[in-house]
Amino acid sequence: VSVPHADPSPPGSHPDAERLALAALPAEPDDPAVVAHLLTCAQCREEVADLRLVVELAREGGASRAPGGGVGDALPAPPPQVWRGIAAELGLPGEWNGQVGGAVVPPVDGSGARPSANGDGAPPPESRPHGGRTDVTDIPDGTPAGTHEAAAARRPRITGRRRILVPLVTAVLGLAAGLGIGHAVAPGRAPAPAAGPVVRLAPVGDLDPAASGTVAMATAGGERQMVVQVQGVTNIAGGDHLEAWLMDPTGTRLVPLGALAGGGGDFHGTFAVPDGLPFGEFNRVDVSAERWDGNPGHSTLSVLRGDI
Amino acid sequence: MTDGAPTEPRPAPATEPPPREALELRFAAGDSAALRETYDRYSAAVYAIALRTLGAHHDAEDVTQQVFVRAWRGRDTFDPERGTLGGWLVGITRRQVSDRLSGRVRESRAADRAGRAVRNEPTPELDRVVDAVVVADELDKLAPHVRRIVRLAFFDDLTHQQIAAVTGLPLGTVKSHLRRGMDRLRRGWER
Repeated sequence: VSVPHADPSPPGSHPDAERLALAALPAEPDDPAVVAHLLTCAQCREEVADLRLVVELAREGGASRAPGGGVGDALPAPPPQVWRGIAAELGLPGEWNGQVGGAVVPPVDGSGARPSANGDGAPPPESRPHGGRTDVTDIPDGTPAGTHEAAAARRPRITGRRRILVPLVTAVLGLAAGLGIGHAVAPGRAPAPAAGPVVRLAPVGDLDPAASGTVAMATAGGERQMVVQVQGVTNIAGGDHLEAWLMDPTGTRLVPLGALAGGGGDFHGTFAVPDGLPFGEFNRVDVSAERWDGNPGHSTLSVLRGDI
Repeated sequence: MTDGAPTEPRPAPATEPPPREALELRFAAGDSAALRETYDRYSAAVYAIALRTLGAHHDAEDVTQQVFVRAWRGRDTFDPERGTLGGWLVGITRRQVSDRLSGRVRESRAADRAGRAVRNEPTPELDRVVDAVVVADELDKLAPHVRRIVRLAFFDDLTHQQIAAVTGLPLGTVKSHLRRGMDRLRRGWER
């Protein structure tokens, strides 16, 4: 290494790709052999410069530096009225004129509002050209609670809040507090008898490929509950426990449900579902491996997922 | 790295897994389910580009809507053989954003002539924003175990040895994940 070579790129003498990648990283100490090589090799200099640009772009690319690196660092999804506007402007067939996956979990006991106006109940974009600007004051007076219209009218308020670009961890906390969920119903209680639609959970990636699970809606004491049951999770991806979440289709916005109890590969949790929880927006159930580290964000280690 | 020019020849054999190509073919064929999937895949990036360059939520929402409306109406002009869907959408986004920015310039000149205050909002350079957003988007899409390691190196300023200690992974695994993740980010939406 101490003898600089004249040939800018003699084959076989370049540092391997992984060492060049390290040379582009902010915290790595200099590798003297690589530094010496870069002095003489334009090709490798260019390679490292390219990789450094990637690091720079990532650091300015909105991937925030929130501790724990939760899902919140992802790019935020546009508010839901953008898709509704597209569907309306293109006159898409009804089945696509709403959230993907269409179905909204209906209330099991038939009382209470549908949790979300899922496209079909939403006003056409012409009435709200820049939907997100609609304020809570735009909610029509005297709309009876519990109707489709009321459910639709509630949406702008949530949207309005979301339009502020806050770190997602904060946003999730706010949502959780605002919706009053995040508490398991009577921890330790055996799962309530399941009723209503069942979501099948499938393994995500290779974290726990043998895992499976279900999510069912149930009613107990006149209150809706979501019953999450998981089997065959042997690894927990290095975490301490499993946590259940509701997620939007882009996987960037989350509502925490809570930790699952259990062991030996089988876990369960029963969570109260407040009226008005917008299942149309958060139409995916996610089970992640988490640590007891006090960080309320998603670990990004999803074990199971299923669409409502 | 995010050249959306439709004339760009596609580099030889795709190393990407097939689903993205399948989506592109279905989109080009006019399958409206593919439009929604395309929206789910790319709308956050389109929205982020618009938001960061225009700096106004309502403009960014409007641009995002117009990009997907135009993309769908113009799907006949998208040729999966000549570029990625992501690159093509970025091209449409660039034009939408540029139109609005030049509209603002005209407005501010008019305002200037009228003796009123000139809106002078610094806007980040479009190309740089596009590149940064694509990298951020690809970072989100990395496999969780790779993403975690890349994030620790990029944002938490850990060395690969510290990352190995934190994650309990062998040094060699950390190094290969880092390289693989960085290559994926560098490739962006090219093929």
